[in-house]
Amino acid sequence: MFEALEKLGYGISLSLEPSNLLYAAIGSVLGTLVGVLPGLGPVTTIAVLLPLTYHAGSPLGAIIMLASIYYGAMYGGSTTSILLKVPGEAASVITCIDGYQMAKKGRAGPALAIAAIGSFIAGTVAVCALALVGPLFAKFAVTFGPPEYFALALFGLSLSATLSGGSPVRGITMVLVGLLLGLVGIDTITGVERYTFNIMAITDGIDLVPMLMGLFGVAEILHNLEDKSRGSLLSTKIGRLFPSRQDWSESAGPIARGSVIGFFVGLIPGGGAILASLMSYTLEKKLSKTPEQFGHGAIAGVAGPESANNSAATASFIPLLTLGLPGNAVTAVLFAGLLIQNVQPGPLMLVKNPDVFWGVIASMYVGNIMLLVLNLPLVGLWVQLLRVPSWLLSATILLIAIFGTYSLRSNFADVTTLMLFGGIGYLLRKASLDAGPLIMAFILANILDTALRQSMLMGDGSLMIVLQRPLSLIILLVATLILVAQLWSYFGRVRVRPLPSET
Amino acid sequence: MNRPLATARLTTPTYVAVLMLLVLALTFGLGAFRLGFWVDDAPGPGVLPLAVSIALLVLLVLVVREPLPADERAFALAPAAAILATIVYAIVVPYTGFVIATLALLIVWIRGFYRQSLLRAVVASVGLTASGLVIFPLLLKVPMQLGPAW
Amino acid sequence: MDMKSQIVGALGILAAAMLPQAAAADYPDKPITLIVPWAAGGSTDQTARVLAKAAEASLGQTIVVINQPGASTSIGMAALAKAAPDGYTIGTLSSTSYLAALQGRQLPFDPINAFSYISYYGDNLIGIAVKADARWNTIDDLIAEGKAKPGAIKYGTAGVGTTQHLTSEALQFATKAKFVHVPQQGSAASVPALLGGHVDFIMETSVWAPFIESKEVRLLAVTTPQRSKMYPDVPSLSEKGLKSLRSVQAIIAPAGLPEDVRMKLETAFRKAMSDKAFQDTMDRLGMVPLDLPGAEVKKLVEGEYASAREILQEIGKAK
Repeated sequence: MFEALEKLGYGISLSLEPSNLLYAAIGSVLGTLVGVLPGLGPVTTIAVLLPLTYHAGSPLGAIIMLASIYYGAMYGGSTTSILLKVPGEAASVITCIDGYQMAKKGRAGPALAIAAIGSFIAGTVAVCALALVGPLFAKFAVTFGPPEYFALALFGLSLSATLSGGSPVRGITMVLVGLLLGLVGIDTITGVERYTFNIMAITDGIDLVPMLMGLFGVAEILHNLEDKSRGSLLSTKIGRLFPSRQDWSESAGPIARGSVIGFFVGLIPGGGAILASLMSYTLEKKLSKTPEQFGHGAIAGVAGPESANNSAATASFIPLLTLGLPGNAVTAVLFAGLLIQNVQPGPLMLVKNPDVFWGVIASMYVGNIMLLVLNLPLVGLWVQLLRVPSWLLSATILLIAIFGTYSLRSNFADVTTLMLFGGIGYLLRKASLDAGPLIMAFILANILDTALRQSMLMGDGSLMIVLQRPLSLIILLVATLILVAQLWSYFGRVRVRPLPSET
Repeated sequence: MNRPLATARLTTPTYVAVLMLLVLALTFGLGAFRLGFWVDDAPGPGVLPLAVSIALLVLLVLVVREPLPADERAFALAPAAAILATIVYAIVVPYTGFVIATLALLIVWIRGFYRQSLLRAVVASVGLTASGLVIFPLLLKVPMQLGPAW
Repeated sequence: MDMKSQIVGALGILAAAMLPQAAAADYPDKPITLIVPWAAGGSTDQTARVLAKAAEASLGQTIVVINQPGASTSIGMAALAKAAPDGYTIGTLSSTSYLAALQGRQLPFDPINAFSYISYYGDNLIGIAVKADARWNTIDDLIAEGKAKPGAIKYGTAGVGTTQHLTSEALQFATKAKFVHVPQQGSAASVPALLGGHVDFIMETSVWAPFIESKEVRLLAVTTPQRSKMYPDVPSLSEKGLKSLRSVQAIIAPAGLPEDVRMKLETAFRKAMSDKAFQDTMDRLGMVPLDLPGAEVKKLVEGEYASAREILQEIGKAK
């Protein structure tokens, strides 16, 4: 344990070298800038910059810069989620829910500040945990086989419906819709195309980013057209910029719990950050004394998920560096960046390139500090964005959504997806059907279906394997408990209601 | 409590949405039969879609039987027109390239939906499109088709 | 091969014939776009980028690499097939592209004849890997148990219909061994499936390489035509008289590319193969460089296409 801290100290000293600090600074600024642009901002930027890193002085410097872009982009993504309801990635969907409501109530400042500070604290916790116990958990990721992923997907689904502010029936409906949409595309097990209608753009499934930006960003500006009398997005004046004492006390617990949840969930490759945010949000809603405020601008609903999200992103470096398992498109490009520098992520990385391993971990920390320093003063500036007249702001969002979507893979079909989901999102919104549960289920659908059938192949056609493995059994039991509790509280309420009048 | 699906209410957003989701559930549910339920000694690709579609049908019935949310409002004209504009944009942009289509959409958006002066709409659209082009094709090196396709 | 794609191919050639050939003299006079039909960061993306960088030197123009992933490369390949055959849009070819066509995928282009072939640059190294503590010491042990206990051994590959999967089907057909295929979502996912004991072996591209070095994984066989110089002790399937498919990596362009332009590109790309950075990248990925002229690439691809069709017919999955 002592040894680990010593190595982390060594890593910090490496990352504090002036040239490396410079790389971190450049990366953070670039990342924050492109993160504000939705779509594949960070992936595109990192891919464009990859050839540059080939000529960078040292492997560490190059990786530090790429990692800073990654973190910066995540910060930038939260900013647009809160201010404009434009989530750049799936994990930010949850930030949209309460963050955007806070912004509309003139509390964008505290929301942005708590997101930045929560992320920073979570980053600190995760980096320390990573240094202390990270290598121990390297093997944890591989214990997750299809039965465990199946149980995990069920668990995630049982939480998804609670994201809905409206009636539980509508929440569950949207979960089912998300599941169906998520099943579009080539089936992993048989290679058969499902519901693609021979449209090439959806052979691999409906693309998440155009769908996200349609259901949230475009649907929101369409909805705003109903009320053009307002000159800007705000319904009230902009309040204080920084969180009040009460905001702090409401956020402290969520940040702490979010950091811990995020770390452990982030160790599981694939879907880590999204599940972490989702779990944190549900947990905070359950623990809150005022759960009815969730969905209407509860600061705990921003603080918890944002912390969990950042902590998970940090923890996901464990499977990346020790197993060579990239969890998402951005870490896949980072992975390539390491390879270009002749650093092979994998079991021997700790032995062969300890300087890069510890340097990267330490640089995440340095990057986090840098982002905090960079972003807190920017809060005031970002908030002014809300004063931009709505005719100009909505046109800007429309333009960025279109160009950002197209930049994914230079395909016009993605622009069509964006616009279709914009219209659908508007209709759903009018009908009080929330897009949040839909997105969660959409992401989990493929994991659920593939893992279920992989498990059955492993178990010679029987699903007993899910119950026979301790880890999957435990997750499954928890998921069942949550489901039962939810059904109970819903149907229980319906049945119990007439009783008071009788007594 | 139960509100019947009266014809007068068919344009209520909840019912329109339910109708759309009904089509979705039926498409996926019926499509599942063509995908197969048992392939190579394992459950086939149709199992989950069928199960979820049936569940969705049940839930849609529950949604219709539920009282409408208190804040449910009728559709407005402007968003419907805007949806049409964005769909038209998506259809024509592969033929016109980004410059013409985007300028047109933004001018329609600012002038038509926000009733700003034509001069303002044109100036803002040109400015926005130009900055978009500087960021994406120029700085991020995204290959974009700017002019009309031949 | 349907009628429509043949007509499209023929039209492409016709269109090319009508193009002024003189333009080639000052080719290239503007940047060239290279379509990689895979996501950024994958093995094709990495190798194509360094190769393109090296080819820039002799072409005197920049080569802009763009990623157009999706639908097992079909999206990027369709874009390439549709591009003008003027030498300013080129792309990479992987076996995945034509394998998709054999398995009933509706493609808006002919998987072989919609393209001009510029050069080959290598094979992905595919191997059969087991955990270090597995009870099989050789490929023969594994096959023997597959025959004795049909269906007891589970294996993973990057997915249904990939080169990896078809080669393992061919192996089972030839040896009468029976393994259960548990498809994974991409090559990267196969390694944890093996390490966690969720499958017994994997037939995969060199994603296992770092774990061989850490002695967590053993390699039983490779599928390249010869043994790999990185693993000289590991037999190739062809030594055992078994069929295997190649994991092709080549540079191509839309059909109807003027011959002098094609030749300029071929010269540049074949010369680029001696670049140090390219060779390092290939080594690191365990890929086997192979230098072939364009005409032979087409023959090789046609041969692979025919063998893949044969395998699919044997296992009754041809469409």
